Amino acid sequence: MVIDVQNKQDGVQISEHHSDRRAAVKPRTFGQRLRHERDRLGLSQADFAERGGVRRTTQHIYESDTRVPDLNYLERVQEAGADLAYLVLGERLPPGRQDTITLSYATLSNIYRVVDEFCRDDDGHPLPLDSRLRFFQLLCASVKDRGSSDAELESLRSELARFTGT
Amino acid sequence: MRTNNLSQRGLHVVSQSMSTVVEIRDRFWSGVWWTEWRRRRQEALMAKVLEDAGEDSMAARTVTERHRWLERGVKYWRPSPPLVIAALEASERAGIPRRDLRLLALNRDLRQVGDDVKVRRAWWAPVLAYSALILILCHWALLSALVVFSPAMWVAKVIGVAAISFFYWFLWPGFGLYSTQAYAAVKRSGTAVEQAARAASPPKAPVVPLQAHRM
Repeated sequence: MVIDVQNKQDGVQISEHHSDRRAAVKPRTFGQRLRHERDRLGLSQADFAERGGVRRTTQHIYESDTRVPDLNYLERVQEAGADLAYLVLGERLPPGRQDTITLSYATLSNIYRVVDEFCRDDDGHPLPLDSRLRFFQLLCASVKDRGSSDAELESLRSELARFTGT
Repeated sequence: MRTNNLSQRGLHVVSQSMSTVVEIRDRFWSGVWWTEWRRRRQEALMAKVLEDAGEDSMAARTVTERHRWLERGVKYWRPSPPLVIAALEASERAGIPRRDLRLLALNRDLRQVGDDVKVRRAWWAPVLAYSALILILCHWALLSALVVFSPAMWVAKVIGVAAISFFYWFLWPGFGLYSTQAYAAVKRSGTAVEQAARAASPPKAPVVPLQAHRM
């Protein structure tokens, strides 16, 4: 138990100074980034699960990349202090760039294509409008930060594919 | 105008309900509910292991890997070896319909042969598939004929034939999943799945005999 607490404290402190072993190797999967964020916030798996509104087993399943969470969970963990852009895209948003966005028609069309591709259930049917809308907003915010060239959108697309495990 | 809208909505509701019923029917015959039940049990075990041994313990890793295997099994209707699962996921990324992949996994037509993943193309698959189809059709026709030529009232005959047809409508997909549909999936997507599997297979390192180093 003592070792666990010590590790957690080290994780928080060292990751902020970019010398953590886990931080040195960029977490490739969503589960690894989720674990990384939880360690950064200094929360146990059970505590983080409670803030995300899920059971501890589900939290563990998310962290082991067996299943991906829904948008409600992501919103809740964002409220708990997790960096959503980092969790989903693997890159942290600089502060003060989250208010208004200007996107070209071509970029919006590309975002629409990505939403249409990813917002589907197991059988290929579109998710409810509410879920698609939130995903659209998330993508708009991400594209604004990353740039809207085709290459950037393609890298965003491949990261999302990795995130969803498809 | 309003009647048109109402009838369109009605048709939409009926088609939605029908697709749900068909989906439930396929899930029943595929036996994926059994894998789902095993996954739920594994989750209960995982909760206990996490509580007792912690998330970084070896016991938790073992349980997690087993759960992952079952989770993929639910996705593709039957648990498969890791190399086969990787091939299925690569095929899905390549745009092959999930239903075909499920049929391949369910019938174990996608197999690991050495370090490669191959699709089984057995000569007896079409024979078995069409024999099953003919057998079921003959049986349905025989029972329907018995009802039609019975001395009952015509209403009873219609109800009887409808009930028999409904029974076979439910029964046939059970056979179809393992016969005609499986054969069609191999024919339709077999080559593409093998190509996707080949493209996604991890690079192989050459095996150097230990003796060569000693000399």
